[in-house]
Amino acid sequence: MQHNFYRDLYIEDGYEAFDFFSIGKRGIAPKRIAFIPTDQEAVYNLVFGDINAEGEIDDEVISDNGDRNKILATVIYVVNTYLEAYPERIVFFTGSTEGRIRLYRIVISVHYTDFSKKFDIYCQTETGIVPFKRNIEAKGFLICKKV
Amino acid sequence: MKTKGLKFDNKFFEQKVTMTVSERLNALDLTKLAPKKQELANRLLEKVKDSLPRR
Repeated sequence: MQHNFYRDLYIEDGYEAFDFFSIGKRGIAPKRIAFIPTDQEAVYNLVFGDINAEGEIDDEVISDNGDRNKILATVIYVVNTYLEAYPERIVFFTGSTEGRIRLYRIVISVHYTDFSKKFDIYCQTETGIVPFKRNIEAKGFLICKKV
Repeated sequence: MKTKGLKFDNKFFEQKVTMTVSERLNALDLTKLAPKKQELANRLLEKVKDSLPRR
């Protein structure tokens, strides 16, 4: 699988946070990806977005830099790297809007054949957690390395 | 700045990547990076904790 993604990454020593620069029509925007422990054992929340003035990750801002696919490919690369480093962990993520959740579902659907060779992918629905299917209404997603 | 390599299946993306360790990132408190998002994640996961994949 060939993808265009940002290949200059700044990393936290334990691979739990990554910074990179989105470069596009609106200039340069620093981005951050982080894996944050949740209350559930072995489940880590994937958060990514712009870095705001308080140093927090803002996933609601729309940078409009024209590089959405490149950013998503970078996130996919980082998730792969993270799960290589921590194969026993589960990555959970959701979108800040229904539109973004739908976008992530589409991205997973498009690349599902490749992803499923290496990862188990689940949807978090109203009724529980189920294996990913293309047309499921999901609230969130979970990814883990195949055992 | 030191760089750090990680052995992984490079065929997944078939491109070289430069990873530079950042002392600024090392100093971060991850739990403070996205408090609202974290609260949402914990709320969503609490509802389904009995059906989480077992590792």
